[in-house]
Amino acid sequence: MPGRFGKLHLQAWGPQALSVAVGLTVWEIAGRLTPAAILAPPSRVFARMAAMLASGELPALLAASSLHMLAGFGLAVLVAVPIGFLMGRVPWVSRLLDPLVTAFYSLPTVALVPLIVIWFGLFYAARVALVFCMAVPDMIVVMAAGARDIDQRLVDAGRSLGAGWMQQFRKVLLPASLPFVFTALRVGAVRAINAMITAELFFAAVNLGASMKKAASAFDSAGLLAVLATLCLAGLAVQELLRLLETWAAPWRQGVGNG
Amino acid sequence: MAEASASRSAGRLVSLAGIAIALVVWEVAGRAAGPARFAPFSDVAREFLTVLGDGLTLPALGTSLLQMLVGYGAGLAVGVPLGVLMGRQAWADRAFQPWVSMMVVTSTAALVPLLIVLFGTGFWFRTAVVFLATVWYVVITAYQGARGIDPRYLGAARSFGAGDWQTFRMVHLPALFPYLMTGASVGLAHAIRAMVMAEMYVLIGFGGRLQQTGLSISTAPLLCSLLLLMLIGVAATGGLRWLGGRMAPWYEEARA
Amino acid sequence: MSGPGGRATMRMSASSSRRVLLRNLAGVAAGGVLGLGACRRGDESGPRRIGVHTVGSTLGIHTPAIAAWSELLGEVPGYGPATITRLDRLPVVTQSIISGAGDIGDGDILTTLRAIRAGADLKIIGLSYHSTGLVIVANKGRVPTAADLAAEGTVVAINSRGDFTHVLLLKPLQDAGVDPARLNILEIGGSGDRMRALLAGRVHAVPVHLDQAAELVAQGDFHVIIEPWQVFPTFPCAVLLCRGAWLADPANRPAAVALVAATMRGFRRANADLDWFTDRYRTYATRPDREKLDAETLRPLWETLRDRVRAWPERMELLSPETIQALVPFFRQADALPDEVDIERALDMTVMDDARRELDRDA
Repeated sequence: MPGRFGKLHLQAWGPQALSVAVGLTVWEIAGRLTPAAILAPPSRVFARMAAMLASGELPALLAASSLHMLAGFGLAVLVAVPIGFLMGRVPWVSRLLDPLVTAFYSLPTVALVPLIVIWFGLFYAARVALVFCMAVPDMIVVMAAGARDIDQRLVDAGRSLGAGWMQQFRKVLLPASLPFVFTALRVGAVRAINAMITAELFFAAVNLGASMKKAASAFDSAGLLAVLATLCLAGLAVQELLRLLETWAAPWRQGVGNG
Repeated sequence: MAEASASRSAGRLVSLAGIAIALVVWEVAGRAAGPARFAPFSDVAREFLTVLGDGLTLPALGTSLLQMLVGYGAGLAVGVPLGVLMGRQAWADRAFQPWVSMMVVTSTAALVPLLIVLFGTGFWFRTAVVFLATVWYVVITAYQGARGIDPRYLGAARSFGAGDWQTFRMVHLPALFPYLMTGASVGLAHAIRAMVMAEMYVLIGFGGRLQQTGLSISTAPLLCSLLLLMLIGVAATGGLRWLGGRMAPWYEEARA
Repeated sequence: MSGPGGRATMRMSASSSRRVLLRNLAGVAAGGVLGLGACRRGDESGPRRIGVHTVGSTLGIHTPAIAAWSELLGEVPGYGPATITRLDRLPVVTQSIISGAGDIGDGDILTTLRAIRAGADLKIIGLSYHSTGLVIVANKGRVPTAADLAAEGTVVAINSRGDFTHVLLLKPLQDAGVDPARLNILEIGGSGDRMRALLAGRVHAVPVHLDQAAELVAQGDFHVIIEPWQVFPTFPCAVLLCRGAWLADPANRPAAVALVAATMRGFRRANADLDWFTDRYRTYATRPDREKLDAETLRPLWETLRDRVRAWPERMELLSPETIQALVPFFRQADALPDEVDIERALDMTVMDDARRELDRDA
């Protein structure tokens, strides 16, 4: 029994552990080679993270930053999922909106900032607006592409079985779209987390963004990387959560999970 | 035949209608707000025509875009195989997923000082920025696509005696194609934006000019640069789609 | 009277841009394969081209230094025009010098002192200009006098807490008898974004360059509320910096001296010659409308910078351990310098001494 259990354990965690170990080693080496003011090695960064966690500073900042992130992301989902889906299924909607969506998608965030400042100010509303603007285009593109590619045979099969419009939607389109809905959610969530920090750097500096700015101007690399590492872990957690959600919602999807 | 071309022109008309509405809204909002807050389309159009003819902006833009292609190409070259590998092989998924998930949420802007240390402040810096901004999104899209390939197709190919490479070409690639196209489009948008951002950190070329517009009280120069970027984005995406249509004609036909 | 390179440079730009484009078409095809990695070495043969890293905007106050590095340095035997890299922000300039990406940085004293305190091996070797070209512009109705900056509900936007734009605000408030701690500060990176925030009424006072202050005031509801050179007569802020190890190398030290000497010569030309200044402004300034300006339009700016700001001290005499030390209390008050920094060690006066000797010799 112990032998079999040990083998399973290694198979499950081996690649992950190895990959993380390699990454950390590279970072540690790089940290020793570059000047201290530029790149702190993992040992110091983790020490700082632990200190910030213990003092309660890190959780508080993260919670405060999450507010505008969740608000912006929520709004983005409400807008992007239906619009993207319609763009994928209804040709004239796609032709109408496609140039506008693509045009908006091409704009770098930093260029939008002055306009957002003028219309939404410098605080919470502006941050929500930025998160929204950064998440929406990616989600629309992914939703539209996915909706377009729903296997036509499934749709035809439904129709030939006499399914009405509502049934068609619930029994065929909805399940078939779940995979790319989750892709869209993942991409959107990633953009939203990115935007969460960007908003706090470009507008009035608050929460995690302010912490990063302060560390940067004091050349405190450990502090800066501690915040970045926290964001990376938060992003990882969110994406894993979405992955679990997908497995629960669409278990029939063949994938590598069981292989 | 006539029906198909009629519906194509109808489609184009709808697109133009959408753009026209947007422009009208822009003009009205601009006049209400004033040039310092949101220059109306007419002001921006005038500025745009001046910029097109000045002999500096367009070549600078062309140079930037060409240099961007290196980072973008690298992003595709690394991202697609990696994503497919992760999608089909459990060990690859477990090994790389944490890093992909962590890197994709990292704002490239935060890495700029480190990138300057590693790559200096020239072409390789900009290429690194474009690469880092692009590759993770390509990996994610390819990964999602590769996960969903119906194993029955794989089984059928194998039972016909197809080798690994043939299976890849005959089954994987066509099934992956939509995801690869999406990955390439998403990647391209991020690449163009990253190129501009890199040029705003080490000021040069188009991004440098965009930075300069901040010094002007009227928003017309800023909006003019944004308009140019939007046109480039639309053109680039259109070009990509055309390329995709040439590489995989069946894909276009199967679409709605 | 246009100097060498001025107008010719501008005329060549359009066609050279096209040439650059064509060169890149070929270059991308070949270069993508070659992948040379972080190749920061320049051409080893030929005149030495010093790599200067500076901040993005060039306006009136920066012009003599930029012109000196781009032209006057090239007139010195053995040296070509400096390779000027523009970076987005002052801290990035300091970081890029620390990392060796550039030879000499045109940065600011606060960032440099902080980096030194964090362990970086940096030396301050000269000035790229004295004092600052910024004024504080405020909303007339909201902020009638400097004391009102700290009023309830009034918001001032600066670059970032503890930088020199923050320090600039402290003394006027002190002089007006107001507690600086009551100042309500918003950090907005980017002078353009700060200006828009002011125009949109989101903030009530921002630092703006002299060059644009007049335009802003003409918009109607704004006025200049603080002129820093009146508050801080001696304010050595825009310093030239380099790595100590780089400077100690006998191959590099003459280059540093040459650059500082060229900068001093640039100051002298600017102080003496409005036409020279105008021509350089039109070539190097990063304003979109720079080509519409002429000598008479620039005269008020030039006279203010030269006489009242004393921006171009010909022997950089305004940079010394004493002048920096005088500012330290204000740096501490703005929380810009948490600890003591050994200024004598940070500032290397010998480069300026050698540069002055060179100028005296050539005179």
